[in-house]
Amino acid sequence: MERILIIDDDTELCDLVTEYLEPDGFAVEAVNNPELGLARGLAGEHALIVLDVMMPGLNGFEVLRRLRTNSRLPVLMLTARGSDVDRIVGLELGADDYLPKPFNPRELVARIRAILRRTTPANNETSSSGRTVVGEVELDAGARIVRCAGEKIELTSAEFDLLVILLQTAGNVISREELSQAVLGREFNPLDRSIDTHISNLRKKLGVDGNGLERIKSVRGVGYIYARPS
Amino acid sequence: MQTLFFKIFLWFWGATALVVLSVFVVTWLTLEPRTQPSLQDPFRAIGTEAVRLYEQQDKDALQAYQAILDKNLKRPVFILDEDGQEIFGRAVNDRMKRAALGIPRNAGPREPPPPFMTNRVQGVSGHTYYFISEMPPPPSQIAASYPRLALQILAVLSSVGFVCYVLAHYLTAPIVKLREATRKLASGDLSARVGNSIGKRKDEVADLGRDFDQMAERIEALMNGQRRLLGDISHELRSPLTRLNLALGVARRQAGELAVKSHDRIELEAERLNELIGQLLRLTEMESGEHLIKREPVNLAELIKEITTDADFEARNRNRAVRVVTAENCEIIGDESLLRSAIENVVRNAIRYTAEGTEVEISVFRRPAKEQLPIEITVRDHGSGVPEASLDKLFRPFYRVADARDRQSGGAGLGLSITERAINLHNGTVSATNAPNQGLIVILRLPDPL
Repeated sequence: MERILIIDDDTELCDLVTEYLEPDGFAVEAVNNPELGLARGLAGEHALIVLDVMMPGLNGFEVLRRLRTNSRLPVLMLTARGSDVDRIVGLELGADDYLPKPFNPRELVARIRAILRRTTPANNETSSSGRTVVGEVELDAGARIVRCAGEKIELTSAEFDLLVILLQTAGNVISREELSQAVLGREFNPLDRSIDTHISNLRKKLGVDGNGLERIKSVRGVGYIYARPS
Repeated sequence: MQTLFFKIFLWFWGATALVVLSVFVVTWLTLEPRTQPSLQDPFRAIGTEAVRLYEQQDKDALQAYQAILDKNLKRPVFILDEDGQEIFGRAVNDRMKRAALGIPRNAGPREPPPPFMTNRVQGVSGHTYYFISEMPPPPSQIAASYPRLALQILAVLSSVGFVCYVLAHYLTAPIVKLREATRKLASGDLSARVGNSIGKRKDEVADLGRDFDQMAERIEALMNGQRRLLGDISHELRSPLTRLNLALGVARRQAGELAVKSHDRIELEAERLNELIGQLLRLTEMESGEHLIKREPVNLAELIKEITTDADFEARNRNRAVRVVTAENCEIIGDESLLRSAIENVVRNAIRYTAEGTEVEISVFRRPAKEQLPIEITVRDHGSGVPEASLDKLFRPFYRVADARDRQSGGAGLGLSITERAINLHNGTVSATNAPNQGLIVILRLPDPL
C-alpha cells in the first residue's frame, strides 16, 4: 500500500479522492489545513503528496517551497486550469508534475503511478543501469545521486529521470514526445511546457560547462540534446 | 486654435478691448465743446480789467497790459471800440471784426463756428468795447498726443489681455485636468481620479470633478467586482466539477458494466461545461484588455503545420482531413499561444462543419505589400456554408446560425469569438465568406511586423 498525502481545503473533494484511490491500492491521508499538511509531509511517512495550489492562508506554493527546503518527497500539484503561471511556478519550485482542476480521476491515478514508478527504486527500470558519466557530470541511478564536478546536486525525481535519459543518449537529439512519454508517462501535448520547465530547472542546477556553454541544448521544433564534451 | 482656452481668452479680450476703445472714441469726440467755457471765463475777466485800466488810467496802461496779454496768450488780443476800430490802430481782418461785433454770418448753418473768442464789455463811462482773439489751438493734447494715445491703448489692451489670460486659464485648467483623468480611465487605468488636482475650488467645475471621481469610484468597484467574480467562477464552478468527475469515477467502479453509456454522457457534458467555463474566462480576460500579450517572433507557417498535424489526427477519427495548401514563410510579432488558439478554434469549427470525406484547407500567405494587413490566413471547409446574412455575426459569442441541424454539432459557441479577440489584440481583422462552390472560408488578416 502506497501512502498518499492529500493537502486540499475542500473536504468533500478529499473524501471523494480517498474513496476513488483506495480501491486502487493507495492509503490516503487527507489534511485540510495547509500548515498541518506541511507538518505531515515533513514527517516522511508518505510516498507522494497531492497538493492544491489555491488554499486560504498558506497557499500551495508556500507549502511546496517550505517542503523542498527539507524534503525531496514527490509532489503532484493541483492547479487552476488555464493558469500557465501556476503551472510554471509550481514546476520551478520543484513539483514533480501538475494536474489542472477539474481533472479526470483516471488521469490522477495515472500521474500518481507515473511519479511513483520513477521514484521507487525497486520498480525503476533505469536503476539497474548503474553509473553514467558524461564529462564532469556523474550520475548514480541506483542511489539516485548526481554529482557535477564532484559536487552533489539535489534534483527532483522528474529532473533526475530527465537527466538519466539525456545522459544515456548524450550526443543524440531526443524529442519532446519521447521525453514526455519516458519521464512524465504521458503523451506529449504542445501546450504543455512541463518538459521545457524541467529542462530549464536542470540547466540552472547543472550550470554551464567548461566552455561557458549550456550542457543541454534545445533543437528548435524537435527536442533536446545533451552535448558530449569535445 | 480651437481650444476652449483660446476661445475664452479671445472673446473676453476682444470684448474688453472693444469697450475700452469705444470709451476712448467717445471721450475724444466730446472733448472739444468742453474746452470752450473754460477759456471764455478768463477771457471775460481780462476784458473787464482792460476796460477799467483804459477808462480810469490811460492808453499807455492798456498798451502795457495788452503787451502782457499778447505774450501770455501767444496770439494778439484785439480791442475794438463801438465803431469797430482797433484802439491801437492795428489791422483786424473783416471776418474777425464781424465776429467781434456779433454781426451774423451769411453762411449756411453747417459752417463751423468761427475759431475766435469774443467778448463785449461795457465800460463805466457807458462805452462798449469788443475784445477778440483767435482761439488757442484746440487742446494741444489731441493733435500732439497720437503716440501717447496709442501707448495708452496698448497699455490697456495688454493689461486687459493679462487679466483675460488668467481668467481663461482659471476656467479651463480644471477642464484639462478632468480630461486627463477621463482619458486615463478610458484607457483602462481605473484608479484615475481628479481629486485635489483642481485645487480648492467650490464652483460647478469642481462639482463636476467630484462627480467624476464618484463615477470612477463606482466603475472601479464594479470592474473589480466583476473580475473577482470571474476568478471565483473559475474556482467555485470548477470545484464542483472536480467533485463531479470524482463521483463519476466512483460510480463507474460501483456500477461496473452497467450504465456505461450514461456515465460516458455525464463525462462528456462535464467536459463541455468545463471547456465553456475556460472559454468564458479566456474571452473576458482578453476583452478587459488585461491579457498582456507577449511580443515575440512567431513563424506562422510552422505554427500552422503544427496545428494541422494535431487537427488532422482528430479529424481522421471522424473520416475528415485537414491539409495545408499554402504555407509561405510569414513571421509576425505576437503571442504564440494566443495565435495558436485563434487558428485552432477556426480549424476545429471547420472540422465540425465540413462534410464527411472532405478536407479542411488551410493557407497562410503574404498579399502584395501595399495592402494594410498583408498577412492572410484562410481556413476553408466543404460544408454547407452559412446564409449571407449571418456571415458577419459568426464571431459573436454564442451566436448560432438559425438552423436546427447545427445544434447537434456541439461546441460552446465561443471559439470564433475568442479567435476574433485574439486577432484583434494583434491589430488584425477576421472575416468570413462563402466559397463559390459550397463551404465557408474564414479569413484572418494580420499586420506586417516591419
